[in-house]
This record gives sequence, C-alpha cells and structure tokens, in this order.
Amino acid sequence: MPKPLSDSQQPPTSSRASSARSSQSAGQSPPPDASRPSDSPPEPPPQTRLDVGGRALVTAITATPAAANTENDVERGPSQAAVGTFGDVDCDFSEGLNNARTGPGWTNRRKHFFILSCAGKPIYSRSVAFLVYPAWGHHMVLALNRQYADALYDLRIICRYGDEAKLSSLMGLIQAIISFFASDDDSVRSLTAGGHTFVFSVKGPLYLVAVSSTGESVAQLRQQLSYLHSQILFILTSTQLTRIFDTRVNYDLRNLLSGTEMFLDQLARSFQSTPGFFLGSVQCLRMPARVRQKVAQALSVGNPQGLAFGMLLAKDQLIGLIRPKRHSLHPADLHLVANMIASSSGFRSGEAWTPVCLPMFNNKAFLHAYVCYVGPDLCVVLCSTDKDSFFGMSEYKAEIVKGLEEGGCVDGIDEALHGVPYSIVEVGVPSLRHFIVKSTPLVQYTQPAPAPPYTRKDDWRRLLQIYQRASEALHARIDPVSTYFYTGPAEAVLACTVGTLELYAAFGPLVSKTVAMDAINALARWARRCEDLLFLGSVPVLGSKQRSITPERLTGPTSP
Amino acid sequence: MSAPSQTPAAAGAASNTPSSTAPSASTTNADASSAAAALKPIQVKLVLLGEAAVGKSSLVLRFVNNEFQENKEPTIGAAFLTQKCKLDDKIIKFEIWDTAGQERFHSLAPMYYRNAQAAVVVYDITKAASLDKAKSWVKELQRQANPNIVIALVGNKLDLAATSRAVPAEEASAYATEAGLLFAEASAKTGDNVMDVFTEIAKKIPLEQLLASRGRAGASGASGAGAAGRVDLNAGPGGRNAPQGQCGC
Repeated sequence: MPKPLSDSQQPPTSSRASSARSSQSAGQSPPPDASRPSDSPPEPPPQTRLDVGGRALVTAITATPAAANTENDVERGPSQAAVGTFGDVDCDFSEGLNNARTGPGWTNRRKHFFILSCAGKPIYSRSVAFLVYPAWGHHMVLALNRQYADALYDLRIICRYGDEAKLSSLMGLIQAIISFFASDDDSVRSLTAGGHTFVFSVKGPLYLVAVSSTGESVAQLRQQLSYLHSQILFILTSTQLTRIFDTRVNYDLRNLLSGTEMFLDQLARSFQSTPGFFLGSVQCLRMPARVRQKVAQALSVGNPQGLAFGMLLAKDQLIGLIRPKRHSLHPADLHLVANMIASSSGFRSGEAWTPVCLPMFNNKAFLHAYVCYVGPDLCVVLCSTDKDSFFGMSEYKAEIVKGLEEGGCVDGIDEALHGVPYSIVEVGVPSLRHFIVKSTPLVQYTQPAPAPPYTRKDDWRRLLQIYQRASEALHARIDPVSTYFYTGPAEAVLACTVGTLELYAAFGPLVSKTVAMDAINALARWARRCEDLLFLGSVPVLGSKQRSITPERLTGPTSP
Repeated sequence: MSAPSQTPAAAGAASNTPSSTAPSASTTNADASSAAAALKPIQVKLVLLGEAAVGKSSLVLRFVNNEFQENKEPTIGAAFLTQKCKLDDKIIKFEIWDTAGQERFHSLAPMYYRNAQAAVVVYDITKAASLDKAKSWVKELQRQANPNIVIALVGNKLDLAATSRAVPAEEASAYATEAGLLFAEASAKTGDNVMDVFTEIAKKIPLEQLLASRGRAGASGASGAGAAGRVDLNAGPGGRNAPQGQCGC
C-alpha cells in the first residue's frame, strides 16, 4: 500500500533499490553512496536541503481523508474512474461511494461556492463537479452534513428555477452562522463537518462561502474565494459595491451582475483545470528571446494618452506586456483579464470596449479595456484610464499590429503558438511524466502539454490537486517545507524550490526518491538553460524612451 | 493578420445574398466598385440599444458578417464594428456601437449615443417587457441624443412569431408612428428584414447635410463620429470628453 513518506532519511535498503532502478531506467549514474544522497555533489541545492532538514520531506497527505482510505483507492480506482464522463457540471460517478440518500443530483458535486450579501440576499451560487479520487468520496456524514446535502440538492433546482424562498433559507443559515460569531466580535473562518469543509470569508458587504469535500485545504479554498471576490470587484469596483450596500442594504446584487455569471463560472471551473491560480502566477508563451524582444518593441512603439497596461495574450498565455513606470501588473489581475476574454466569444466579432477594475492595481476605479483579436488566438488588450480613448487605443492597436508584422514576429508567434504546448520529451528526462516550473521572481510558470495519462480530465485534476497540496506545503505560513514528496497509487510527485525556481514534477508511482531528485535536478538545469525561452524576463515600461526596455519584472515577489 | 474591424467590408461583399429584398442599397466592397472609388465614404455613427438578450449583437453580426450564432454570450461593455453600404451613388460607412443591454452598463450609454446619427432600438417580439424598455430608450434618446438622430424600432426574433409572439406588430407599429420612428420586425436568425432596416436608416439620414457639416467639423474638430472626432480624442480632453466622472457606472 503506498504511503506518503514523512521522513527525509531514507532506509538504506530502499534507496539502494531505488538507485539501482534509477541506473536502469534513467540511464544515469547513481550517486556514489546511495544511502546518503546528499553526499553526491552534482546539483547541490535540493540535496543539501534534503539532508539538512529532518523535516525536509514532509507530507500533508495524512491530514486528508485520503490516507485512511487508500485501500479503497486501489481496489475501486479503475472501475470507478471508468464510470464517469467528466463534464464540468454534469458528471456521474461515485454513486456507490457517496451516500445515496442525498440524491443523484448533487452527490457528484463536490464543491460549492456561495456569495451572498450581508443582508442574506443570494448573489451567486455555483457547484463545481470535482475530480474523482474515490477515496475522498467516502466520508462520515454528520447530521449537519445531511441537512446541508438536502438543502444543496434543493438549491441546485432553486438556482435554476429561482425559488427564492428556499434559497433564502439556506442563505439565512449561512448568515446566522456568520452573525453568531460576529456578535462576539469574532469571525468564523472555517468549520469541518464530516467530509465537508466550510470556509467563510467576509469581504465588506459580501459573504463568500465555499463548501468542499474535495480534500482541498482551508487556505486553498480561501484563496479561491478571494479570486471570486476579486472577480466581483473587477465588474463593479469596491467603491460602487460599498456605495450600493450603504444606501440599500437589501439590494439584490444580481441585478448588477447579470450577464457576468459566465465570468464567475469560468473562474470557478479554472480553479480545477489550471495551476495558475494556486501558483499565483501566469503562464507565459514559450518563444525565442529574439521574437520576445521584437514583440516588446512592437508593444512599446508609442505612448498613447491614457494607456495604463497593454498585453498580448494567446488564450490564457501571456506573450507580451507593457506597464506604467511605477506600477506592475499583478498576476491575479492578469488572470481576471484572461478570464474575461476566455468567458465570451463575443470579443471575436469586433473591437470591444468595456470598463474593468483591476483590484490589485486599484480596486476603487475602473480602467477601460480595449479588447481586439488580431489573429485566430491572438488578442490585444489595452487598458486605459480614459473612457473616451477607444479610438486612440484602436489606433495604437493598429500600430502594434504593424510593428509585429514589420518585426517579423507574426511568424514567430504563430510558430510559438503551434509549438505550444510543447512535449515533455524536450526536457530529456525520461522518468518525468509531467512538470511545472515556476519562476518565483517573475511570477510565471511553464508546463509541457499533458501526456497520457494526464490527457484525461480526471487524471489531470488529480495531478493538479497533488501539485496544489505540494504548493501549499512549500508555502505554508507555519513550518514550510523545502522539498515535498508524495506517492500515491497513480503517481509520485516531487516538489521543491531550487534557487528562484519552484519545481513540481510527476513520476510513476514506484519511483524512488533518488531517481526523483536526480530528475528534478536535471529539470532545474534545463529550466535555467532555457529561461529566456520559457519566461518573459523584462517588461517594457510606458513613457520611457521609445523602444528602450528596462529589466523590470512583471511584478515583485513582495506582492501577496 | 488583420483586425476584425477591417474585414467586414470584404465580408459584406459576400453577404449580399440573404437580402434579396433590399431595394436600392446593398452592402458592397468599396474598392471593387470603380464608380465608388472616387467617392469618400460618409461615416455614420449608429448605436444599438435595448434590453439584454433581445438580439442586438445578433442583428449586427447578421448585418456585418452575415452570420448567426445560437446562444451567444452577452456582450461585455460595447463592441465596435463597421460596415460599408452603397446607397444610390453614395457609400455609407456605418460605424456601429453594439452596446450591452445589462443594467450595469446603462450609465455608459450616453458615451455611445452622443453624436450618433442613427440608433436602432431593439426589442424582442416574444417578450412584452422588452418593448417597455425599448420605449424608455427611445425617450432617453429623444431627450438627450443628437436632435436629428434617426431612430429605428426593431422587433427581433420574427422567426418565433408563429409560436410565441407576445407583442402584436400593430401595437409596436402604432407606437413607432406616434413617436416618429422607423419600424420593422426582423429576424437575425433567418436574416429577414435585417438589411432593410439599415437601408431605411441610410435613406432617412440627411447625408448631404452630414457631408456639409463634416467639412465644418474638420475645421472646428468638434462634432461627428468621423475622422475629425478621432483626431480630437487623441489630442486631449476636449470636445467629446467633456464632463464625465472617473467611475464608469
């Protein structure tokens, strides 16, 4: 039975076996003394870390229900996994594992987000079907849980058919829980009932609640709630939000948010499918530095009045960016912009002009975003402080396009777009199944195209969830770890920090720690070698001398 | 690589087919017509207003690209599209602002109908409430927009007339006559009447006057949605940029 490893000291036997395996599979020479991998010096940073901490290899797995049910995992895994079709909203799995009495409708919905106003008016409710890690499906259902389950089952229908009376009783319950603590000048942060974690977040006049049985930690759920809150600010600004509820405390915010449900939906879905949110970084299109330089030049050909940020995006990947001198674009803001573009196909039909609020830049006022597709997947976004500057932005876009064409970047970008997602084979580390490399100072990450088995949605989500937990362990406020190793029935994941890089790598379940460490070192070397190719290293600043590029970062590591 | 806004003229040339009903005006590629080559297109700023989900964007897409998409997502903010039309011996370039119908964007509407020569106020013939909203838009336009603005009231979703019509054509037509609007029922889905709406608008716009005033505007840089207006916007906060708050809503 696979058990998570919780100790850095490897028993001599296993490491000898693993080093032998490593020499077979990877064809790499094992360290001279396999029982003490830290003595072999080829790539010091991670290995010294491995040696230094008795706490170096730590696991968070035991804290989740997963560990308790690993047998189920192994036995039921394949058959269970075969049942489902994993649409984001409708999927049909784990009926046998979950409590049947809660009805067929909601049992497969593992995570729910609610947003309500402080007066208890519902604002947003969304259930997210989550991955099937069958072990997590089995849980004790407490009384509260059962009530909640019934209420939720109703809720799904209510949300669709608008039965306000029923919805408000659940909202009332949430409101009551929050107020109960608030009356003691306290605030409820989270509570656990059986397999469900309830996370509460009070943000001004809004209450945000996440209910999850996915095994995600409180901190992760809180982060997701914070993204959802940012999304609402993106639409309304905090000024407006506060004003509305100051004047009419029982205002139904859905009036103002109508037509934007797709933003929130898209965001709630993205939490499960892209690592950018929990990594707090953006994915950058992999392309040669030469082309990148040209793109930067094309983006900074002028300094049109009002322009605050300009970006060139391909789907959710960043190609180029310009920013004002004293400000940087926070990845969270960039996520919101990319999320908006991904949410609506309407942007493809013409030039769009819409007010947006970038909460990390300024949550009190709107910028005005000019959005225009200049290629099949290539989108120019220009954020202006002047709401009448549409034509100015449109002309600037034409200049950018001209610059891109003159610089010969069009082919370069096309090539990069077609070459991405790239294959894991390029890295040349055979034992690797998948990886993510994040550059901490640049707040960017890169990953290869998911290869089988991660082309299947549920496998992919499971992997992301392990990465997510690894990321949490690396960044834990209390007792962060520098290396995280996890083995499960389907894969092993090793995560560690090497200098300014954060590496997450997936291996087969039987991989030894030595092989994994060797692979991750090779990966780190590869990432350093290709840094120019993988990451957007410098961002041109607006208003500086034309075509000069300062080595400024996308945003500093100090930002939260 | 070309911006979508530049393509419609070409797309429009291909889109003549559905509107066999269009009487004298037809969308055409200006470059293709040798007679027209000498003429400068007359720019007409046109704005679409109406309740959410009545089909404003669909009408525009039918007019500009001759496309139709089922279950389109709501427009975010506003979309800008252009389309060239030939009317008699003149070429008209419609600069279309397709606004979002959601309430939160309402306060942005003046930005789009300011200086517009034409407005298309759309309602959904299967939803009675959408006509009320259309009426309130008409009122706002008549009160605040350019006094010479040509307003067309359009009942969309004519293809659903047989099954779920909620607004009788007579009722809307009577209102339109009373308020001095052009009126038509159309279907963006089938393309029925869509071209005709824009043709009628084009006919009703005082083009000569527009040409004459544009000459003056070029000097003063004050009016119109034409090239003069653009230059003006770039130049700085004057003219149209007048008194507006920081916050868009």
